[in-house]
Amino acid sequence: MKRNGAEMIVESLRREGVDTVFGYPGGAVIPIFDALYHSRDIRVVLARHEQAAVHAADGYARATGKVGVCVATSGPGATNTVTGLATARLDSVPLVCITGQVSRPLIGNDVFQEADTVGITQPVTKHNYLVMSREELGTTLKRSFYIAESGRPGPVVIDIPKDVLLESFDDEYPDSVELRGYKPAGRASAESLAKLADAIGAAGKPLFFIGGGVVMADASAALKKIVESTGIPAVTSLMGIGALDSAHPLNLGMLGMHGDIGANKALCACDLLVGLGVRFDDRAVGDPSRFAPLAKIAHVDIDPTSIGRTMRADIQVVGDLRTVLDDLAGRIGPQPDRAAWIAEAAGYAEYGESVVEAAEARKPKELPTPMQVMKAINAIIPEALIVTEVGQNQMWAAQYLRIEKPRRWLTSGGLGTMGYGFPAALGAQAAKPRDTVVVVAGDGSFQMNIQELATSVQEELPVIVVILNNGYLGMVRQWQELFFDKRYSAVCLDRHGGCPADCSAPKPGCSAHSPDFAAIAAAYGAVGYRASTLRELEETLAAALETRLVCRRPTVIDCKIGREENVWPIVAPGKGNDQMLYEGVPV
Amino acid sequence: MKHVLSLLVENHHGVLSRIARLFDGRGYRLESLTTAPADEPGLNRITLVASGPAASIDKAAKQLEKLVDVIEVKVALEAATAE
Repeated sequence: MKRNGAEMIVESLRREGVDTVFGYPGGAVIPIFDALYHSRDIRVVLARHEQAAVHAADGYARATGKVGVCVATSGPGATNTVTGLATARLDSVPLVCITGQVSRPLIGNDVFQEADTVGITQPVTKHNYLVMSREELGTTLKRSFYIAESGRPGPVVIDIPKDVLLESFDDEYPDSVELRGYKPAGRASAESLAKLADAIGAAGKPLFFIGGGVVMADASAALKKIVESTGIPAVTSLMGIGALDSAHPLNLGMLGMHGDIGANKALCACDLLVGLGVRFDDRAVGDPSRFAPLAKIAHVDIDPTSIGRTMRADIQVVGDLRTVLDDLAGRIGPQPDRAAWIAEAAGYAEYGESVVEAAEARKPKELPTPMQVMKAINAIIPEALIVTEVGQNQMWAAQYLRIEKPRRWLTSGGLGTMGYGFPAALGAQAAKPRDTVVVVAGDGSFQMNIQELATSVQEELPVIVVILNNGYLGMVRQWQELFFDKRYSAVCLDRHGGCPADCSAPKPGCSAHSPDFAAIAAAYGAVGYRASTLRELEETLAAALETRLVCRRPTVIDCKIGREENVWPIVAPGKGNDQMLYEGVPV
Repeated sequence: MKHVLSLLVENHHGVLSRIARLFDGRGYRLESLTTAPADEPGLNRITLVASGPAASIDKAAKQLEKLVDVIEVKVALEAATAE
């Protein structure tokens, strides 16, 4: 069939089952939006910034497992996608990002809105293409979707000159593609699986270390079966949250810098650590020489370059977790009696909880504590799909929220992108209209993509944003408090001209110069509330639930918390996971 | 330490810059690089000499294999004397 390039893109979207596209138009991509104008089966969500469009496509992809699609124009449109692409690459999220380029005869002339998009995005994508002829467009689109979602998923950019979008050609969208140089791992070798099964059978104190790869591979059911049939306890990375119910008796929680005390203690005591779809990232590992010091390390991953990259791996299994866990289950024989180890691990978890609860009990409660905020969210919206921003809010959410299922915990783990949460939540809400999407935000990060309030209202994406407002860029302030002698440099969001240059603490009478978030929400047509007690928070959360049902409008709850609340425990930079501090004291 | 690598690649847009960037990003220097059409149409044979830490050459080779347009990687020679 004869189609121009833009029409071939829409044909590709249909054939790939894409129902929603996030984007922002501009001169070079008007033909794409023109083709979309006629396609009523594909929803076009207009973001208010290209970075947000990519994050929204990312949230859509993480919530569903499908490829997220976004469109941006040439030049500044394309450069604005970079942070979103890097976020998706580090967290292995399947995206196809279509960018417009200036027409072929103009490329390289520094014409209006021209940028070297493939050059700029090469380091932040899994792969990218510049399409230099209409004839190769269909194949390139097919390849891009395949590369984005297969193997270790990731973002793919397709840069398409405007004259290619407008050129007509008679062809069909291919059913399949061949890529000789690209061979994503499938089943693991029988030999490596046998080695792993033997090591598990021989271990006295084995521990699973669950990562985001389990979520990406939709392998949670297989994981639960293995954990329960073997009785082996598990810890998770930040990205692995939700792969196993966080309230499961064998789930000891998150390890690492701000991990659960019990998880880090078990890690230090185990004699076999089985990493499943994890990168052994530096925030999880801490000082590598003190990481799991008594353990043999087994590492299962779909990406061979991840294995042995940051940590030694005594047993290496390259394979797709979709099949590895089932294959492994078939090989695991009867397990030795590990009642003592399970009791030991449970003891670590109990100890950790007692430390946290004692500290919580000592806190003043005029303002809600971070733990109270998370417990209120869990209690009032138990089935919430949680999306976080980055910083203290993200760590408190990771520590205190119960996440029961995979794909209900979306967070920028690898890149740590402030401004990710709100637009990603809009993408998740577009994908899952019936789910209640809650954004756990900080007053800093929410302002990094606050313009998306317009998108959320216009598109009727009724997410609930809970801002933990401490008037600071809290995580940086915490580091300044702990490691820079309380020199609070460029972190106070309430600061004004009359403040002393060398502020090192909030004082009574500090005036609030932060914006009025409730008023901003109202100005955009959303609903805004202020809460400064636990009761007000609970009431506004309940009201937000009502609002989303009745009028499909988003709600922003500006919840005041203590200005100098810290995230505990912390493994200080360069230290090992056995050197945790809680409120400054070793635990 | 110098390493001689031989790659078979698809002659696609950007393949050379991807390979070069991979070495740059790991602290290697490219001492020489030649590319020529392979026997099969559409494929190129790239031979390169990189100098840098020995420990990570296998990791670099794995990363090269991961590139979509790279079909085959051979670490042909690793020797301090290779010229």
